[in-house]
Amino acid sequence: MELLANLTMGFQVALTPQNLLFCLAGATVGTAVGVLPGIGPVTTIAMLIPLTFHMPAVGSLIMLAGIYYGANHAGATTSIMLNMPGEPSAVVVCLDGYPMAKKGRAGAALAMSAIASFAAGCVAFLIVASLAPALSHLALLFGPAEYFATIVMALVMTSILTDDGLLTTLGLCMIGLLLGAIGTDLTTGDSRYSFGFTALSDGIDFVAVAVGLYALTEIIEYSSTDTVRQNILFSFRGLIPSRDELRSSISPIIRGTGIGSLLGIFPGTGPMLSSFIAYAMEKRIARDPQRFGKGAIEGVVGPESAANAAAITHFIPMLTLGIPAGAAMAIMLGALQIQGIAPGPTVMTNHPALFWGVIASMWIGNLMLLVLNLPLIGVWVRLLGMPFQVLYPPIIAFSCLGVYSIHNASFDIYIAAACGVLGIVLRIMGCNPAPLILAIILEPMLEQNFRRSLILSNGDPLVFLTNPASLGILVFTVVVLVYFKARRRHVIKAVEEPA
Amino acid sequence: MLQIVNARRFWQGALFLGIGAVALWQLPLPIGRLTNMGPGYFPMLLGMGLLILGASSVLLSLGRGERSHVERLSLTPTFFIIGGVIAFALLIEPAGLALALLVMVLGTCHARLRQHPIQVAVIYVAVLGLCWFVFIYLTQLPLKLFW
Amino acid sequence: MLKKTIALAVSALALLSLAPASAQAPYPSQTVRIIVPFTPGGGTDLTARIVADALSKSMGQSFIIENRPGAASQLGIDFVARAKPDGYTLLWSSADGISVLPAVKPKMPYTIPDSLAFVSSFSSFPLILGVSSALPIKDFKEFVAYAKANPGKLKYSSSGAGGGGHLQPAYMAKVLGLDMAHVPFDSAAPAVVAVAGGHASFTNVAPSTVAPYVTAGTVRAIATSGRNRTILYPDLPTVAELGHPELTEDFFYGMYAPANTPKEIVAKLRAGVEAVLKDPATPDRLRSLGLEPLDLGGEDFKAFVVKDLNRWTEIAKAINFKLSAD
Repeated sequence: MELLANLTMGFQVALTPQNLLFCLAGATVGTAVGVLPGIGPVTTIAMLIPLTFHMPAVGSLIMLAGIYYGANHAGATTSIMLNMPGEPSAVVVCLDGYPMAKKGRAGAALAMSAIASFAAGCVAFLIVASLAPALSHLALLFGPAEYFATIVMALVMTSILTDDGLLTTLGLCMIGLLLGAIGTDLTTGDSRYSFGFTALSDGIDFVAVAVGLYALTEIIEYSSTDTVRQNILFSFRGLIPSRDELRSSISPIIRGTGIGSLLGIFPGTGPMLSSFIAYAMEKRIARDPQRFGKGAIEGVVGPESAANAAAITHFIPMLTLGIPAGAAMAIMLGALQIQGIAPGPTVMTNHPALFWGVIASMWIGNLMLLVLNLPLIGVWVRLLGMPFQVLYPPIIAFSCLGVYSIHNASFDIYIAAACGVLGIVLRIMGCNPAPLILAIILEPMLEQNFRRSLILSNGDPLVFLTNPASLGILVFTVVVLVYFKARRRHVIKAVEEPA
Repeated sequence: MLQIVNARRFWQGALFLGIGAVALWQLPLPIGRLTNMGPGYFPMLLGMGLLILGASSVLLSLGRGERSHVERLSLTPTFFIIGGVIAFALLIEPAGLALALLVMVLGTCHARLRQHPIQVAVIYVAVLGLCWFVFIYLTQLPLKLFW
Repeated sequence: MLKKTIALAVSALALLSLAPASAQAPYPSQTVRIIVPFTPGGGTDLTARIVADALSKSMGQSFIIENRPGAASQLGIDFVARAKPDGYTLLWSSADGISVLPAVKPKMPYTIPDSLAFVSSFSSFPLILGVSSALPIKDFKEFVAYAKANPGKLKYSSSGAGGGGHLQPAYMAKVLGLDMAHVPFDSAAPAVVAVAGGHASFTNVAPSTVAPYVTAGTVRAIATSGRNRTILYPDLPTVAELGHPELTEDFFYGMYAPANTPKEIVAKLRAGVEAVLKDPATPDRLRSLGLEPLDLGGEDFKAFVVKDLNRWTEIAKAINFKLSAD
């Protein structure tokens, strides 16, 4: 079998002591970066580029890839522990991961998310290894109309994420979209809603918003309650997922992996979108959607497996076609080019050792991450056991410096502070900020693809319905929404009329 | 008599109306056409959408019956924590990390009283050390430790 | 905490290896920041990192890259223009914010050439005209014929409004009398993907960006804007060879300092960049990125930029192109 022979060659490359070391370095740095707020994988990979000039091409790509999926892997840690998403893909993990931690199941949530990530990583690895060449052409399939439809689907589905009702979530989405519209208009170069601040011309960064809406809000809320917060008790039993939690995680992991593997192939969508579509799906098909938002394990493992699967299949367009699926990939492509390797379909035939070596290293890297993360859980949970008033000054300090590091400018810290106030206002009104933050991130993609679609269709707004793929996605969205609403009413009725 | 029954819904509606109004009032120009949208086109759609949603929310919050209330939070911690963060942002470039952090730690620790001064001092030194190591030594942010 | 410590130690080692021990020298006696006005990973950032790495070694002081993106590179350039002219804040920029944007944007916070001291150019590159292979267009002649036969049908994607990738085809449309619409993207990569997928008709991007798609056969390269043919595609005709020398345009990367930076420092930096260009390893690295070395210093570089700026100003006037004001 050709695949086996290729994989054997790949593992021979990836298992050399030197490459193992690069893989370990990538995974560890990725984990650190994923846990620290502010410093993202993109910045880290860019900083390490000059180092790769003096490294072999395979080794450098193995290391940089490790940082990328390692950061994705670890992004959920702070979501679960502090209700603070480290990466965009971890926003939805907050919804159920943090309630689990509050119930004293932080250890179990962390362990299950690590296991889910690993399981998804294994499947996605197999998909990349066996189907990469066949799947690569899907990446070109999506044009502006299809992207627009996908993002609309994602935004409408946020109403499933929380229990706040359609009116509230749509409103929050629109506020998020408006906040996302702040900055330079891509088409004309005009600045929008900048209120005279040049620094706003680059728009609002996810990290600043996440720090404000999550970290600062959480800390303010803690400080305003008179009771001393119940410290999460540390117990060894809390570290191990119960048999029940394991059993109910299996199907969500499989579904999440499927969604993530598929969406990861399309450039631009990737981990974040698939993580919250996976969450919405889990909640949609759960027998009892009421449990979601209160610490349902399915709401942690589903999105986590989706995000990690997508992070791995995200490499398909890059390795097979030379299409960077995101900013981090674009930098890795640059690193390859500096090494004299022309990215594209020829990589597989001209540099098979590189191609298969990197793929094999992804599985090894995922195994390393599992081994690395499981013992860390004890450390994290013990840290949570510290009094919160000792924990929060370092959290604020790290968050502020992380925010500062985005543009090396104080202005982003002011944005974080403003978002902290907004977070408190939303908290008082009882709204969950998840739809808002997702909309902020998706706004540029939504608007630009909307505008591009209409330029390309010469102004025909029916383009989204005449294009078969986008029509399919929109119809699917409506069906899911109607079905979910009907079902929820049904469930609520069932709960209200117990025998 | 009609009155606000669902206070949460009412205030949400008010927020949507307010933001929608600001969005339309400060609308970036020109709006453009469907084939050649200007910077104002998309925000205009969003602003109008928010006005509609906000108005519906406010109307739905009215009714007869007992009035529900929104959660109340004490304002002091908000003031000290947001204040601490803003002070940090103001000081970090001119005064360096050490001083900016000092002001921030004092401010944020003040938000939660009953903290022993020695505990605050220990927290300050630990945070300063960690931040220096991670952000100045490792990631080489262009920051000074002292002024 | 142990694992976290290891993680930090690993990245510490990685970073330390980039910053060799400092030697006693008059300039530079402390860390030098090079501002890159774009996000990490683009051509500007990559070339900056190549040079910063080499300068750190040759000058015995670390040169670090600081990305300050925003407003089509205007923010970062403005930051350097206002910085203290002591040689410790430098700019590494592409042509976009230096000679293209000032030509099309009515209100700019800095002026070229007065706000900057010109240290050295580094490399140049042409834009490749790449057409979707879904279209029945094999060469430039067919391209023009097709565009004339189907007015309004061709849509070109660009790496951003007001940049070279936008103005170049807009000018071409004017010169050739073609009717085409502009579809802006936020960087060059997605602009080419849209063409490769057949969603847009053609685009003008740097050789290294279009290369994978040309190899895959999804994009057809039909012309280069360069003065000379590009090393990546020696068979590809230049626009001048195709009868349109007025469309010839080479874009460039280079280093700048704030105006009034001491002449000795500028000269020392210029010597440093020149040494990088003379390094036998450099041409290969550049070539793999589709870049050609461009070795101009001081006044020569300044004259080159001013000429380019004047050309874009004339073009903007000719096609009545303006980005609306803030």
